[in-house]
Amino acid sequence: MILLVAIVLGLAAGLARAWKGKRPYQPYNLKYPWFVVIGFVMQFLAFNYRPTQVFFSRWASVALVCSQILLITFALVNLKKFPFWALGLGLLSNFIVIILNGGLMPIQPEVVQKLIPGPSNGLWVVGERLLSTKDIVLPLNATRLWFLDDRFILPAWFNYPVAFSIGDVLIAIGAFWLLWNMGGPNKEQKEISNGKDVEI
Amino acid sequence: MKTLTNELIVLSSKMTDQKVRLVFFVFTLAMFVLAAGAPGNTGGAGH
Repeated sequence: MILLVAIVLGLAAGLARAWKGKRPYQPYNLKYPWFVVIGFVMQFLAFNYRPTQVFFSRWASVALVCSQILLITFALVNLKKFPFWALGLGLLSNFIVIILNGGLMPIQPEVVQKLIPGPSNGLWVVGERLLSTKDIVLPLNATRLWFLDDRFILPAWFNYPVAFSIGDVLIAIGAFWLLWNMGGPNKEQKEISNGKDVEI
Repeated sequence: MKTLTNELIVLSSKMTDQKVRLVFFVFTLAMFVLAAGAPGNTGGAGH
């Protein structure tokens, strides 16, 4: 959800930039968008859709890793657009720490305590998946590349309990940058306007 | 139902090719960002 804020802000900023420069707001042509659709559906079934969540509970890490491989492929084939470097780097950062820690994103017990204050009462257990999220609760000394895990939380006044990684920050920056660029006068945008770029 | 269909036809005729492409682009980017990111959101559990 917090990542969608970057999209809303990027879209608003990009539209304002195009409007100020009296240019059309031109979306990029993306190669292989179906990779994203398949990856998203895999995760939706494994993590968000209750009827299939139970079925996928033992395979959650497999679904997460497979979908991220699809997304990395999508990012690689679209690297010509410069903001995809930030999106790809963020994705790769999350992917590496997930792969090295058993297929789920590690989160430290101290961070979980901040998200869910008070005694755990069996709600979460160290070494196991955190509820139905993409996270696994691991102490610092058992986490490989701990600096890439879900370690940041929003200030209390946001009243929104969420932990995120440096990879998530890079993904948010990349999404904002991509939408901002589409309102600008760069060379690729001119080519799209002239109908030279027809790939999708 | 007929009114709703008529409204949708009017709306779709107003949507230019460029707007449709923009909607698809934003939709794809939103799916990418949601699937690529891994923020630990407990959904308010324990609160």
